[in-house]
Amino acid sequence: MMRRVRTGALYLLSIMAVLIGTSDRSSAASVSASMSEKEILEVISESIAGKAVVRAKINQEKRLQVLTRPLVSNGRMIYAADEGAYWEVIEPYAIAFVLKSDHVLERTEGQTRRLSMQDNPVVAGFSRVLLAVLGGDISSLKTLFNLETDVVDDRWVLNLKPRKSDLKDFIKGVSVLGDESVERVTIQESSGDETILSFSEISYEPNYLSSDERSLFAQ
Amino acid sequence: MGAMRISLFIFWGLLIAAVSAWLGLRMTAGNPIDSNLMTLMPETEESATVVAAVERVVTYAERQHIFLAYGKTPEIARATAVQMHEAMLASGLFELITFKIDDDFTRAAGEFYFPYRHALLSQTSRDILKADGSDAIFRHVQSELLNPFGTVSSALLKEDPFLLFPSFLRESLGVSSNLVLEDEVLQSTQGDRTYVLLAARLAESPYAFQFQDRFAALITTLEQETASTDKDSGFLSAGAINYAIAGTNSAKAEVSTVGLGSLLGVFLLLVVTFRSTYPCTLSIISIATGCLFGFAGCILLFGSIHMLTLVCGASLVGIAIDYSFHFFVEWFDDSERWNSFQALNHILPGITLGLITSLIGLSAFFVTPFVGLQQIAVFTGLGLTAAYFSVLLWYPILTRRKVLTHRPVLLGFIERTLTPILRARSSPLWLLPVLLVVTVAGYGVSQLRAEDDVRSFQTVSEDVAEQDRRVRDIIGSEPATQFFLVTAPTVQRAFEVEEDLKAALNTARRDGELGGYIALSNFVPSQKLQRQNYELLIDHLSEDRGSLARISDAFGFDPAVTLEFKEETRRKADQILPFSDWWQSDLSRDYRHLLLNENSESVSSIIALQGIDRLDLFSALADQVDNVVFVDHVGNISRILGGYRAQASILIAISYFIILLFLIWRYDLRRAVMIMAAPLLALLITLGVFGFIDRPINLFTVIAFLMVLGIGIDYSLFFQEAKTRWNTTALAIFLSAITTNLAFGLLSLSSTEVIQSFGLTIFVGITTTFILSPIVLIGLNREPEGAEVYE
Repeated sequence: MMRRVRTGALYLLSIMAVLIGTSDRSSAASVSASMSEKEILEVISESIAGKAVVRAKINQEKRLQVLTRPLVSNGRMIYAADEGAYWEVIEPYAIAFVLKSDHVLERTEGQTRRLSMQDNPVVAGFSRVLLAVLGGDISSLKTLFNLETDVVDDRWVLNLKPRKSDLKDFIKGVSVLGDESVERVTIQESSGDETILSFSEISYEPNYLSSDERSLFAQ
Repeated sequence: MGAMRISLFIFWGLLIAAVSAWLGLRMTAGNPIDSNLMTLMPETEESATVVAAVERVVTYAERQHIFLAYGKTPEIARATAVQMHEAMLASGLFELITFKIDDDFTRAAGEFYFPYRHALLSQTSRDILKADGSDAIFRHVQSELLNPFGTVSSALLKEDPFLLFPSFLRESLGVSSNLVLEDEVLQSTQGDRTYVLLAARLAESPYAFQFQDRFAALITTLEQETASTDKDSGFLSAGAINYAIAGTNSAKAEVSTVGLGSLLGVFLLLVVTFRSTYPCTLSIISIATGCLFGFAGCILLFGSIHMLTLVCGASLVGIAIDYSFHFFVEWFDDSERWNSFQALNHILPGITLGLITSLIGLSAFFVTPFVGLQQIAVFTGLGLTAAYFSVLLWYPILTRRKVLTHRPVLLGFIERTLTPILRARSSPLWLLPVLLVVTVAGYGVSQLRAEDDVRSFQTVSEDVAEQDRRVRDIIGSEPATQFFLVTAPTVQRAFEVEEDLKAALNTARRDGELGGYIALSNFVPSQKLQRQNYELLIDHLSEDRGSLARISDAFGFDPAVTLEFKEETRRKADQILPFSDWWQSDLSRDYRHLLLNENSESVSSIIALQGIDRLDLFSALADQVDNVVFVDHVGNISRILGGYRAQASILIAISYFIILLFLIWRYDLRRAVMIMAAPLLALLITLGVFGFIDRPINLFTVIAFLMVLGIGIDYSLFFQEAKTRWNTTALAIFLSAITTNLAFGLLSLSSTEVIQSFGLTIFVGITTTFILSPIVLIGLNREPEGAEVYE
């Protein structure tokens, strides 16, 4: 069970690294089937640049073996280099997380709960990893996963296979599909469970937070 | 020289030999020196368990040593840690090194608890299940399922549809720290450095000198090895042994500078004055005899001797150096031919009175409930008496043939300086400067404060303290020094008490009054609580509550899964995790110090507290619950020392009042007051100086005051009894003041605060006593007959 706790952080390492690292609309070169794996990776890594602000809509679909129907939720995400990350689930149940370097706030129904890092290793791991990957190096991903690239209908696909056995026990693979930006991340678990995260309406402008947005990060 | 004197000479020799032999035998039977300050507490009922618990916690804490290997990247830091780990293993200095938290260990923890999950709930989960209806549990499951950072999988959901187990694991295993488990090691990245934790437990006491040497050698090796691999790599370390090594090093340096310097100074002074090494040797013999008798006497009376007694007692026996000096300066009395027995007769009234007043001074210590003060009284009393008898029975015979013909330069100097003072008449005008001094010193005394914090006894090495702070900052946890001690007839009862107490502790934690706590019942709740947990869970499966049905419908659980969970939970009605399973497993290896006498009828368990400031809050908490004691041993030791200081101060005042009565009986009121004047004024001035320079007093300064008073009264008495030989008496007093300052006053150069204070007291006290001691001569308004001789 302890291992699950770590695995959670690793999922997110992969998701966030790819999401924030590659979805730079202005500089991302498009890929073609003729490109070598190295070239595709270069396209992905070259476009990695620390963005001041990233906004996106998120749609999460969890398909669990024991559930007769998928768990679907919608929301949005705002990342700001100077504040941290704001991750909000709107439907079907409102819950929002504010990730700061030293703590996490969980908001439900107007109530704010402060989660200390020490009591929540998963969240702590996520926050730490998030802040680490913002420097954006694919090499840290490579220490955990074997990277494979593919091109499908002019879109690039990054397939991540866990290198280490402990991770392999839980994750079969992660695949990221993108064009000018990341469109979909699919996490397949060894148990057969599957989580699909879709991103839409990704934007980097304005490259500062509005006062409304900034208030979301407030205590 | 009669046969009687020879017999007594031999008798004294034989007695010393017998005492030495007895002491030697006693020492081989076991070390009688006790260094545990807690044993000095006045005895109370629970003290034995508290002392044992403190010893456990202190031993555990002082053997914990933390290394943080660092490097520019996590990989380099990890490689540095691996390298260090190998060297540490090879050194054999550690009983346990926690480095790789491998999968097997974490898997073992998960697998150990999982079968009992129906009875294991975190505090948070318990609150959720205790809430009315099914809303709370529904919201909990929904939040876990939708949580993007969640760890929910089918495997878990099937066995634990309420998703409660992860919370228990987190709460029970959650180590309160900033470190994150990654790739099997605990690490933290701060700035451009990554730190990797290596937590070690020393194999031996950090206060064993040999062990310190080996440890220091390992540190040097580690420093070289890590630096040679990568110039930006290295490590930080924190633990009691760092302080101990710094203390030993500074003590060594002080012994070799201060100690050697003072020995050399004393030796030179005596050799130059007497032009012989004989007085020096004989003085050492009498002091050594004194220490021997004091040591043996304490062991005979108390069964053991405390370190504190040894240090204070040996210092106080130093008062006896006066007896020797007064004897030797008789060599310079050229009014008649040298006769060692006559010389002894000359000084006998002085040194006898000196001994009697010192014994009176100490006697009050003997009647206190404080064992330490009793021991000091016995040690010093016997020591001074033995030194006195060495002078009385040995010196005349050992110095029979020694006749000196030279006149020391010092003697002439002293005569020239003192003659004008001796000429002065007693006059009320003398009171003016005295009043002035008393007023100024009195103001200083009003500024005086006491500080009994035991931490001032440690050499504070800034380097060590700074490194310690950095390590604590990085790992984000404070060492636990305070704890609750729970006593109960069984382990289960103790845990039930712990659980009552933990409710209050959780509140304190939420309020920020408590950083964290470690209790064994965190790892295995009491059976009572496990049963309650199970009842809480089973209630949510019922039709009435309908929690499971509601969740199952809302999220589309496979009906087979729900049914299976219900049935399994019912089957597990008696599945309670036994404490003994955990206790005997490897999972408890870091917590074994938290339980005492587990097989007896009076079990004690410890709840270690971290990060508390308001001690009163926790002490009040303990008062509300039966069989719980709040133990703050650092505070306790400070309080013991404070108690000793207060007691000793009062006793000194009382005993010196008795001395005054004795002197009035021996002389008259006027002379008695004059004899007491110099030492009391010196004491007042010393206290005033301490007030002015804002230096707090503690037990050891009070002991130093006792020494100043003892020596001071000796000075006055010798002058009083000297009659015509005031000049040689002044020389003896001068030698005594210089040697005492060299031996103890130089300690004011020590880097350890408490030793420094002791040295400073002696330095100021003895110097002023020495300067003031001729007051006796003035006050007696006696024509100094002796002075005429050299004019």
